[in-house]
Amino acid sequence: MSGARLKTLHKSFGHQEILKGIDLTIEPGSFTVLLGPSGCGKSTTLRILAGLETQTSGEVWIGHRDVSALEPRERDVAMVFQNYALYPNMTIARNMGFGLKARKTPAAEIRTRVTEAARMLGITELLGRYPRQLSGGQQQRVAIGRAIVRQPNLFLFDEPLSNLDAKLRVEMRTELLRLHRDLAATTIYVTHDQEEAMTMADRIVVMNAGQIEQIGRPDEIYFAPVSLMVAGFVGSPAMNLIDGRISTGAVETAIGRLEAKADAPAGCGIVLGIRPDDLFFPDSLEAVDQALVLDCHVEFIELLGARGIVTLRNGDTRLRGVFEERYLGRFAEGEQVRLALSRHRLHVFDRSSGRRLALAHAAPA
Amino acid sequence: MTGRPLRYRASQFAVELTVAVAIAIVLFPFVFILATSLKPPHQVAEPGVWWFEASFANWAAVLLHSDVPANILNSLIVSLATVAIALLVGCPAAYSFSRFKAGGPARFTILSASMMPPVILILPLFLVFYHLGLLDTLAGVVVAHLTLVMPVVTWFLIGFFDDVPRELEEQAMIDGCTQFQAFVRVILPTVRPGLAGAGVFGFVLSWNDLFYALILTGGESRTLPVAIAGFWTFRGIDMGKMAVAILLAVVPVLIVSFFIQKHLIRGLGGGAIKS
Ligand SMILES: Nc1ncnc2c1ncn2[C@@H]1O[C@H](COP(=O)(O)OP(=O)(O)OP(=O)(O)O)[C@@H](O)[C@H]1O
Ligand SMILES: [Mg+2]
Repeated sequence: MSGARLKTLHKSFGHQEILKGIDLTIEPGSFTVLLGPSGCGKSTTLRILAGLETQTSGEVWIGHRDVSALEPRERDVAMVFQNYALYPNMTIARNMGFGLKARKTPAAEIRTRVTEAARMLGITELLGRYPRQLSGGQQQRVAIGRAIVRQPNLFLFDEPLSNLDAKLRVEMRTELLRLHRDLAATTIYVTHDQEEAMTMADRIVVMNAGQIEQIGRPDEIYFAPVSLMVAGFVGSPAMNLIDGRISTGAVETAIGRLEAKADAPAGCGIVLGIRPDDLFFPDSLEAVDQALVLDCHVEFIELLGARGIVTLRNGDTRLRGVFEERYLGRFAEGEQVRLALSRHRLHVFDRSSGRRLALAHAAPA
Repeated sequence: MTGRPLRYRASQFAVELTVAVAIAIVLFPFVFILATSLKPPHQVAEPGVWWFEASFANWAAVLLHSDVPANILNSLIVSLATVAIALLVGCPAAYSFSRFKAGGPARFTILSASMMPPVILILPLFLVFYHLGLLDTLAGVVVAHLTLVMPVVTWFLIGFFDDVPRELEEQAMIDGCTQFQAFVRVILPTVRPGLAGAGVFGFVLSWNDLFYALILTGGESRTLPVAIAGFWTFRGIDMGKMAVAILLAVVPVLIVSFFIQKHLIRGLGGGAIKS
């Protein structure tokens, strides 16, 4: 089991710089998710790791080897593509054994390993069929099986679940995690689905416009986003973002004045971020934790089973809140409601740089 | 009784009738030629005669006492060699055009040689072959046919390679293949229908060519179309023997097309249908 390292990786296609200096260390045995909006360079990063694209500058290390100049076949990685890329002219068994055969593994061992992988994935009865005779979900399993059989240094996944329907996607997520636990294989997984990233990753690498925005555990990414981009991208429904500015000893916003000191000069434009989960009823929040009390007008309520999304308005500011079922009864469309913000759940960002600003709350009166 | 089944049967009948007429129109020349080939010598020149005593005199004359079998062999050698070379060169070429965007916009120009009227090419070819001693050789005809067949085969295959997802060969390369191995072991089998279609297409082009063969070959190396034309002499047209030779020329094309008609149809669609 090996880790991997990318050192100041740059990639340009023609005059367009797609990767602008990626530095990343992947721990052996970890499950790392590359997350980011479409076109930010996730696939390009993965493809450079696999050797399918050549970096413009920078180094790629896998284990203790500098593989920067090596061909894909010399890197000993396995990859699962979004469209599965099964060889249409080969049976499933031959698809799965192809990598071993290309590496001159004895036939008997190929058979044992293919059989074992097929058993793990529950696709034994498909081995004699051809890819076109399989459903999307089955093809997906075969693609994963083909990667497992190889026992490679690194598993690379490029949005492997995005062609599946929602239910199957959630099932396969669990299955992939189970496999990861059983095989303890170093995995790098690309997705633009933040829910997938949150549930699967040991570590999330949030990318934006060819740069790494933040690296951290899922909870760090969620609770302490380092930038406006991460804050806005992660979380569903999206974080409420409210414009404001710093005044002496306080943060002024459209929804009220926060008695807190941000480490930015007075007059600096900021954005206040509040997750929809972080709107509370005053009676469920300790008084010392209450940073601000808001009187809101309830615009409408969307039910999502055990939870509901409530759209609220404070002055001209619209806020979305997520509440559990037991609280939903307290809302009525068209009525007023009083809510509070917790001082531990506020995010303040510099509006011009997008960087997170540290917030020191005034001692409670 | 409702009217619906009746109307249905009526339209069914109309469809069948149309198809029957179409088949009759297509088959008529064949039937006519077959009849001509079986007519006794004194009736051959009377196209209006449909009732006659079948005679195999023409067939025997052509098959046993003429050069036609040798011409057929020549034609086979020329067509097969042409197709083999065209595929061998055209296939990697088409792959490069498709995958590496080789030539860029110039890729349209590969067809120029086959778009040109053969008259333009024949004079230079004739002169070059004269100096190389390739006149009246099968090799010369093959080269001439390649100017026509190779671009068509290449063009034909580009569409098929375009349809192969790039990930397929990338997967093969990650799985341990060199780019060349990925091409041979994964990409080529995937475009097999295209290869078959291009092969037949090229074969027919070469097999049916009269123009190049007529000018470049004379004696020993005459191909079948040249031989067929040869029945038209200054002493008149030997219709009976000509008919036999024509049938011999058409039959292989029909047989080959029949066996790969499925692939041929997909091929003519330019590989538009993905598997
Ligand atoms: N071969 C190429 N030639 C030119 N530009 C390319 C090439 N491959 C990718 N790009 C560009 O690089 C940028 C990043 O592409 P990439 O595929 O890495 O994005 P991504 O983060 O994987 O997005 P998605 O979530 O949509 O898959 C895109 O703007 C894309 O247009
Ligand atoms: Mg991508």
